[in-house]
Amino acid sequence: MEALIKIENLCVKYEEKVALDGIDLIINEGEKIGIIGPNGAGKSTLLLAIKGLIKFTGKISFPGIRRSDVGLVFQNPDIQLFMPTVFDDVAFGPINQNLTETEVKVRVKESLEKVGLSGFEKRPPHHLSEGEKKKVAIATVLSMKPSVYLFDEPTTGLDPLSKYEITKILCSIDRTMLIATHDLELISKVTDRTIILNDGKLMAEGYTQDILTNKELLARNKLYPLEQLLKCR
Amino acid sequence: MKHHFIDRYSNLESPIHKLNTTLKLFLAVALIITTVIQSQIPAYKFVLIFAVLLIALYTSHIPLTFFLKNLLIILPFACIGGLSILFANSGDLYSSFIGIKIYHQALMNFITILEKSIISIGTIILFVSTTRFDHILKSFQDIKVPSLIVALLSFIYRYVFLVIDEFMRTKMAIVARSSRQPTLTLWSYMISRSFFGSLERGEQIFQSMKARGYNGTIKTLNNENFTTGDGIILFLCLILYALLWKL
Ligand SMILES: Nc1ncnc2c1ncn2[C@@H]1O[C@H](COP(=O)(O)OP(=O)(O)O)[C@@H](O)[C@H]1O
Ligand SMILES: [Mg+2]
Repeated sequence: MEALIKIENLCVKYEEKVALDGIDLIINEGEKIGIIGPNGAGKSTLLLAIKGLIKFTGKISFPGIRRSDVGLVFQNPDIQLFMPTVFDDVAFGPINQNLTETEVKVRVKESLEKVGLSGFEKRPPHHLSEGEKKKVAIATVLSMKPSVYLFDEPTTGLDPLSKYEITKILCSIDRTMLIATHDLELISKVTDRTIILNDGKLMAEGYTQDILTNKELLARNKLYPLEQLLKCR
Repeated sequence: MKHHFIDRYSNLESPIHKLNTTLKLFLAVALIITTVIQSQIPAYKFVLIFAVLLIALYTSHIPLTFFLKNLLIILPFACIGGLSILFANSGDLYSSFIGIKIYHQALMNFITILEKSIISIGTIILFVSTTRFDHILKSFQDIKVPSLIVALLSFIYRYVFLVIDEFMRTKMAIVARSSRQPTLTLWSYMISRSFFGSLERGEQIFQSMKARGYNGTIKTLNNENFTTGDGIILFLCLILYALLWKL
């Protein structure tokens, strides 16, 4: 296995708040890695740092690929989607990659097909449902054909059917990917390896199966309730 | 970009929408400049130009009400400066009303300003609502407007929408928690909140654009060619302009 991204002693500070504290991580080709942790753990910060969108100390290197080959899907589709139509938004990345008009159109068509939204080209993104917005957001990155995908909370806040559909889309992407989430079901279905972040620190790393069955570890990291509430009425 | 009230019709399909952007920009600017430099505009010329604008409007499928509404909203701002001219003391007295004296020359000057404003604003509304904003920016870039200015314009455009968005969100959150009408303090709080909120969002959107390869240069799919049709329109408009101002 070839390492695509190497992260060494990564630290990020927002004003006074330390958001990431000495993270070491190697991402190998073809791996699907889950990043789980409670709210405010530093998951989004880690993805932003990998994509080079915020200041950090430490080292992130990309042996074999370029940083521009990394595609990031933001948590909030209202930030990801900024063009007047779905077509323009999905075409934005490929156009910036200097592809020809024909290639761009093919990319847009393929990507929308892949997320099940063919025919949505002329719709304004902000008038779509939350689930559709999330899918268009994924399509805007699919169309760039990155070597590595970074997904920030792809299923958070969605209804069960949309959750299922997004999980299926992620399953069908045959590429290296990092998924930041606290949706344990999602990572159990999609990823091989999982890391736990809590309060900016890497608390555990291992096979997804092992991590998810270690209830005590999950509980310690606010990912599983310590006591079970049986019924209140 | 949640609101499309400025350029909500710019995605329509019509002969005017299809015209080459740079040509449209040139024709609009040329009409505005030739209008503004006139010392006077006789009524028949004004009617003629306004008719030309209306014909273009009709061809472009943009509702007349949208055009007139925007014209009426912007016109007062353009004419505020003209008001002082209206009350200037010069030449013959035209009329006097409850002690306010209006002189003939002043009235003529004011009417000229009104005419110029209507033509200029009408032209701009027509241009903006028949051209996608990213194409306008691309056109600026092509005619070598400094890239800093183009980038600034593109951000102003996005921020306007963001601020309005944020304002509506803030207002909704506040109204949902209070039963009274917003007070003045509340209004000012809402407005400042919207600005800070939209600054943060704007920064995040900029991050998202960079993440998808944006590096300050605007690229669009349509690398517009100058077609024969564009050439004919250019020729006709030049003749029209020449006739307008030389007759
Ligand atoms: N722009 C910012 N300015 C200041 N603090 C921030 C900013 N973004 C995130 N933080 C803080 O950094 C920590 C990690 O945030 P984040 O990476 O968004 O966590 P997660 O995605 O795991 O919920 C949080 O405590 C958050 O409050
Ligand atoms: Mg997050």
